[in-house]
Amino acid sequence: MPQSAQTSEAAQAIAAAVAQIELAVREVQTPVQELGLLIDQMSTGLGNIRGAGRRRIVNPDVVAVFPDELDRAVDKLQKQVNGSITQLQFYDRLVQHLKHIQDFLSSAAGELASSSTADTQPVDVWDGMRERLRTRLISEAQRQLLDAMLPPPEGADIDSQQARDELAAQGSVELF
Amino acid sequence: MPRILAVDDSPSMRQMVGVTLKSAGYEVLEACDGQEALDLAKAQAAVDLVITDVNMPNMDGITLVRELRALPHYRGVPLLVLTTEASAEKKMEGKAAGATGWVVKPFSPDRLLATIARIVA
Repeated sequence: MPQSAQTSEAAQAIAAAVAQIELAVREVQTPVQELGLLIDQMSTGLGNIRGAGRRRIVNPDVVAVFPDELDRAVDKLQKQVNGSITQLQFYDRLVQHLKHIQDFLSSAAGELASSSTADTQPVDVWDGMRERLRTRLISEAQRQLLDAMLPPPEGADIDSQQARDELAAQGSVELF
Repeated sequence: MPRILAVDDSPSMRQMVGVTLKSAGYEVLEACDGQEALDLAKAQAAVDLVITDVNMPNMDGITLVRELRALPHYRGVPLLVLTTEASAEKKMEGKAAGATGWVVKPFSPDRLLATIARIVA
């Protein structure tokens, strides 16, 4: 592959990687905000539990008036902990996504380094790298973004409904 | 209380699954990939349920399910897949390998525990 074509492939690969990183950061914004909100609510909940506990000590009769106060506060706190567990999983997705992009960029760097000493490179090396990244991406939105930035040789088939369906499937449970 | 083997190459995912299961009183064993899980199973670690990720190094979750089904003492153990993969094709692959069910991440602790209670009851 001539140097100018190699440079063009490298530039496209880097631009695609940058777009993936942008998507990764965007996807984690809402879960992190939700997590912050839940932590805030849990802190308030703990205050309520402390208050309920103190009221019981000061005036045991309060148990008769508000018997469920403590149980309700604990139930609410458990729900908030569960919500936090759900949102924290998006951090795991972010780490996976970034690792795949990191591996892709490492391959690109290796390719550029080896091409600086070689006269020619196989034309399908960049296609192979693109395909390896594509198989490792974990959502349809990520794959479609890659297809848009680095179209496969046969052309990209962008189907946004597939990405929406996948989003709707998050959290689903199916017993066979 | 029932014992559950949780398999995932992500330490944070193992932690979140572990916290969820332990909050309901389950005993939890952990493995960081399919090979480690299979080694535990072959060493006769008896469990009541296996929850496994799909995309892991050394041995992926679908292969793990297939290998566990080949072990006599694991033939009747429920095997739940917990993964980011939501495609029908991947689900069919899991079902054909012998999976009991398919949960798409991010999981809701309430829903996961309700599903486990149905399977393990």
